[in-house]
Amino acid sequence: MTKTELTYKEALEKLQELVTAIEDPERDPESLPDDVKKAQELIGLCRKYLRDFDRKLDGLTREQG
Amino acid sequence: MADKVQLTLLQLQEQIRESVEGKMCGKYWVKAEISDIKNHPAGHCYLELLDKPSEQEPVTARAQAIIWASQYRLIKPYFETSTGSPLAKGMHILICVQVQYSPLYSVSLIVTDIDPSFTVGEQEVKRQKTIIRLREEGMLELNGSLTLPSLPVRVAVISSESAAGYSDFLRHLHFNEYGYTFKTELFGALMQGEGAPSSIIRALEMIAERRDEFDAVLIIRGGGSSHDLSCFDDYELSLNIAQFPIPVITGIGHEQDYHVADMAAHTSVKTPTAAADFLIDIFAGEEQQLDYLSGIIRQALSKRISNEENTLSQYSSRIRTAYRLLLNSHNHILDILEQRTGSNSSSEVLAKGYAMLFKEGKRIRHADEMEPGDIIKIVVSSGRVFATVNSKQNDKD
Repeated sequence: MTKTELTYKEALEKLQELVTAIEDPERDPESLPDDVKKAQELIGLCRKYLRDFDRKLDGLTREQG
Repeated sequence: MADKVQLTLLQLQEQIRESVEGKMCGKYWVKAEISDIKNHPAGHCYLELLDKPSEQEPVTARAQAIIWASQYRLIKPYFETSTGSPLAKGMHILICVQVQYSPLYSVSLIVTDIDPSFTVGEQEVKRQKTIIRLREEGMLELNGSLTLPSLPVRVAVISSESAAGYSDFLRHLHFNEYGYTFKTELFGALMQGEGAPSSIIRALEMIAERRDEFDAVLIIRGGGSSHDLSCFDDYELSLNIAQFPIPVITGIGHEQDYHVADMAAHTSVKTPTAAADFLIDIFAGEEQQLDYLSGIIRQALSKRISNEENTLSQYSSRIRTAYRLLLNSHNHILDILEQRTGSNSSSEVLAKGYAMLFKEGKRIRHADEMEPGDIIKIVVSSGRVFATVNSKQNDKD
């Protein structure tokens, strides 16, 4: 499970590590599904952060308006 | 006693009258300053005239003048239309007079005509002298060199509660369409007539004592006659405005009025309402700038979020590609092994006794990749075996 307390930056760094590991052609294919699952969870987490950022930004813009 | 000619006072006065009126029977154009003016209920106008070589010198001559009602009805509108002002104390005039002597009232000048262009010219000459003097003293740019705060909220207003335009100013400022809030404080002063300059200067002095409490000073007064507003051409007042430590904004009179005080001020606008607009526009301008910056930030953040989304999409795509490549690669290995063993399926290859070795998730191809003590995973046909390397021997050993 991806820890929800990860910040966007931490999640992105972990994702980068995982992608590099997944791209290693010498990798044991058996552990691949787990890593892919973790990577997808991290991508989901990062996208959630981005959606939140966007919503906050919209809110701030509306307050200004 | 008997040989002395005795005259009554009236007889003497009659002789004087005959002498004066006999010698001065014509009409004379005379320039003088009005020191006092009184309008009689019957419609006559009584003037006290004086002569002074200059402002600093003492009075050298005085005389009474009368404009009879029949004449005043014609002179008054003509003069006011031409000069924009009624006849008033302190005004310099050029009048056509007949000299009259009365035993009761002594010499009187009967006004038959007036030249308004002289008065206009006199006022303008005085005004120009004041401008030149202030310019030579370097005063006209002094207050203008002060920096007006970005948001002048605290405004000291010099005006009179009864002055034309003051209530318009307040209404316009406090009920502005944007809802900006201003803090105004009135410093009452005379806004017309002889006493106005000193009264406004006193108000300026009171504000100066509390200078830290204000961002700007406004001197406002609505429209009036040229003479009403001529106090704003006063040298001392303009000098005080020029030297004032806080920016002074003037909004005096009508659209066409421009006074020396306006020239000495930081900013001059045409009317009190325009002074309110000036302040409101500063705030509106700042808000517009903030909107612009806010837009730039919004754009930058949107771009950043979009870039991050792209990065995530790229990672997602790379994962799918890597996943496919790795599976393809392993299938390919098994296919080769199949071919080499003559088997038809990968499971058969493994069933023939071949195995695949992995250490720490990575496939092992050579004995060099293992050391005694390493834990390795061995994939065989029916499952996986985890083993520890006890020893190793390379082919070349």
